[in-house]
Amino acid sequence: MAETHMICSIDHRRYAIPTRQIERVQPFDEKTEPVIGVKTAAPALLIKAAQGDYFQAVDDLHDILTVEPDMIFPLPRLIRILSTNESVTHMILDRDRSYLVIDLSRAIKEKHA
Amino acid sequence: MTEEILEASWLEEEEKISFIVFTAAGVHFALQSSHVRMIRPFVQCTYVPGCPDHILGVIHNRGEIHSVSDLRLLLSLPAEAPDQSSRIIITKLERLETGLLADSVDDIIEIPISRISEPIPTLPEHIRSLVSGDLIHKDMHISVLSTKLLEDRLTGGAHG
Repeated sequence: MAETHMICSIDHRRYAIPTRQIERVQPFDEKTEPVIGVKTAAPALLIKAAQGDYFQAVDDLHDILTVEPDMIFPLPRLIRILSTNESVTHMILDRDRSYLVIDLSRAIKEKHA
Repeated sequence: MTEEILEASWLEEEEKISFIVFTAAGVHFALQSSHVRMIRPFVQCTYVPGCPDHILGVIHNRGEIHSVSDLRLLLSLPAEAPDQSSRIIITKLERLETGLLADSVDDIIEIPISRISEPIPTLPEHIRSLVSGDLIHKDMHISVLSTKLLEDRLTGGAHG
């Protein structure tokens, strides 16, 4: 089943976040915590997770992408073994573009671990 | 003369192993061809956060996603930006598949097992610890990479 993703940039790299995991987007505020997921050096916006009071900081928003099941792939085993960031597990391929997927639910679990 | 003929015939019958020969920072390496799935020119990798330095990222290749490790960084050799001769070797190791970035892929050779000797003792330890043998081809020493040791180095001992 197709699922929409918000395309955003973090440290000049493009990421995708499933829109069903997003409650709202708000301006970045240093006091708002806790921030989860992938870190950015220049946060401008906060994406509030639909589940709990958790936020993913991003530099910018770009697009909403409808992702068909045949466009999304799990990351290779070596990456899954080595990565210390458990919130990134899949990759979307959209013609010549690719986006890593940030799974906010996993990022929240990682925060608790 | 008879002895020479016998020796030649024995050499012909000896089991041979096929290797891909490649270089990293001027050091020649060989990996058994049976562990190589594909060789392709370098393409920019998609960075994945939270990975060790030797992981350049992932690439999309014929409908599959492959991780790519920089062989230079993995072997503690000086880093250098990829160029036109750089190649990504998609390997199938013991437990995982991954791409290795080499400076160049130079040859495919078939070598009789008897020509593979112990690793040369003068190899630096950080390289020797991944090497299972040595062979001489075109007057060059070529270090044969051990797939098991390579995999252990790639994963840092973690097997997931």
